[in-house]
Amino acid sequence: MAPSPPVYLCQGLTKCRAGGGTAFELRVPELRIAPGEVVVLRGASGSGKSTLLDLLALALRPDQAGTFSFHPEHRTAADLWRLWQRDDLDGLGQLRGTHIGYVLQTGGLLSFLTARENIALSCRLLGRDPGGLIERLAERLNISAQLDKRPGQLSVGERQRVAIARALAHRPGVVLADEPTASVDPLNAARILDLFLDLVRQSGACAVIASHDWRPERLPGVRVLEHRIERDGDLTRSLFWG
Amino acid sequence: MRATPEILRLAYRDFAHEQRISLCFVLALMAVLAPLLILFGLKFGLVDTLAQRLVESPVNREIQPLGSRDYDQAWFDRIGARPDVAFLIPNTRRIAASLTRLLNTANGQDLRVVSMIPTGAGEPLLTSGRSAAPADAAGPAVPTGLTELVLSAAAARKLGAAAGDRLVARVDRRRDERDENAVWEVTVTGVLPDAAMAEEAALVPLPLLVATEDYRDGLAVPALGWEGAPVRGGPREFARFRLYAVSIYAVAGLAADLAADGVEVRTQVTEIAGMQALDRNLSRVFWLIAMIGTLGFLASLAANLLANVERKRRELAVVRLIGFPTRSLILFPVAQAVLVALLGAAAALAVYLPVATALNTWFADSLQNDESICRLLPTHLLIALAATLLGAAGSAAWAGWRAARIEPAEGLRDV
Repeated sequence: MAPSPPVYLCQGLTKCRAGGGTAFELRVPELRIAPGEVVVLRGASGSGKSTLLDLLALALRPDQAGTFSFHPEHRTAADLWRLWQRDDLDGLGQLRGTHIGYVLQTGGLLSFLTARENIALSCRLLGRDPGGLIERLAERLNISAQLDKRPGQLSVGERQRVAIARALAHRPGVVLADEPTASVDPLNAARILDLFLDLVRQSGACAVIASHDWRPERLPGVRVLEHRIERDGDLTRSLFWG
Repeated sequence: MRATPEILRLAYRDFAHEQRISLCFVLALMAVLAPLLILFGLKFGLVDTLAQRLVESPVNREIQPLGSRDYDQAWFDRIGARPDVAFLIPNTRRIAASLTRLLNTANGQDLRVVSMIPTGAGEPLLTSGRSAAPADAAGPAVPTGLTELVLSAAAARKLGAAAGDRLVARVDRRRDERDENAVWEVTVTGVLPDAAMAEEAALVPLPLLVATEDYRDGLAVPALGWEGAPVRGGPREFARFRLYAVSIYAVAGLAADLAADGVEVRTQVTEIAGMQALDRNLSRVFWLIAMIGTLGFLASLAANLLANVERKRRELAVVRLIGFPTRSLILFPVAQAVLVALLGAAAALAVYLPVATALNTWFADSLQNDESICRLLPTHLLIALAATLLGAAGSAAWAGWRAARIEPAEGLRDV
């Protein structure tokens, strides 16, 4: 059996950010992420982890790319670089909405909807009935009692867990998470992380998780991307590859 | 794609969730729109009513001859056929044009020396929509024959007479060194409103005026059984006329033509020019205020909605991230703007209607039946609503489109 094609294939992907007399460049010489793989981005704050996740979430326009393609399992491949060049925001949005679940550092919940409605939003957009999935996810994440509350009534940790449920509810092939445990205490962080990885593995999705404080040796079966920071005068260049 | 019904639901949920801020937007819109509606209501009510009165008022359209001359039938035919003439009727010599006495036998009240004014079909004093009784919107009927007349309001008051009453009329003459008089019964077919004529007078059919002139001249009037010399034959000439132009704008030209014809006339041209200048300047003042008000209204509406979208950037970025297409990002603020516009316009209407009713009640005494001081037709209200909706949806769509051009990550990382 031939190995499945990578979900993400990036070659020569760059994104620059300038401001305040300094410049920052994220560079991905080569990156392949296989279906079902769990990948961790490690690096200090400001090392471009969020930028790379935004690029993988099709939420940020790359400046340059040799190859930047997205191939959800059992679906046709999409040339992301061409979609960005064509400025096809709706096409990118559709891919994102169907195949990607994104856990944002800030939660990214809509304040005017209840937790349940926030979790169901992606399913509703896709016209799918989440069925009992929301209740099952909520039970696993221990937020069953919070489902009918609005984000404003929830603690930070609860919001983070609602965001995790939302990222998983529409059964995406890819789950991205940006510091999903940064805003909770260490004890809770470890618990949420284990739970998150459990849920991801159960769903069979591939995952990319950014974190500055996880110890990968504690997480078997996880691949950590190679990372290096280069300084060149005012330019800070951050490289990720693997 | 389920995006459209879903985004409409989200827009409504957000609007309802932020009810206080939504209420502020609605009230802000009402606060600017309501005075504007009242201003336009006053324009279409007060200003237009005054202008209409000015243009239509028979007093301003009248062209009176100075002195007497002999006008023959050909002259009346020629002038009467002009398109700028609304009403023309011959008039007798001033000295012959009065009744010696009018007596109301029912109550004994009488009037002496009542001037008679000739009238006929198309009488401006009767047809300018100035009837006193709302039920009788067409005004009193034009009197005909030799035994009908219409009284001015002052004359009717003095006589205690109303439409339908019968009066006794008397005309005196001196013939062959003898005082004689003719007495006959006349019917009051109507009473003019106060505004139409101030003096004590009667509108009578031209044949009656001619008959009394003949009688004063010592001639016989067989139709009324009055004796005297036989009526001379041949075409009759008249000393004066009553002439009304179709509008105040036609008065000056008509007067100039008559003057060129050798007919000296008196008109209200100077007063009309003054009133027209005033009307023009009032209109300018109005449009200036209305223009500034409307621009301010649209600017504040647009500013509010743009600020709202700016405030919603994070929510819009989240919506985008979840996968909603561009049109949904535009629809979200547009749907909220339409809600603000509809509720704000309804609130403004709820302020306008009682104010308009109050204004119309306060000024009811100085208004004729179909006039109002403050009036907006359904068309005007629909135009106001359409402009509000268009302005609101337009600025919100523009703001939404701008928000949709931003990559989702930027909107998320800003906060």
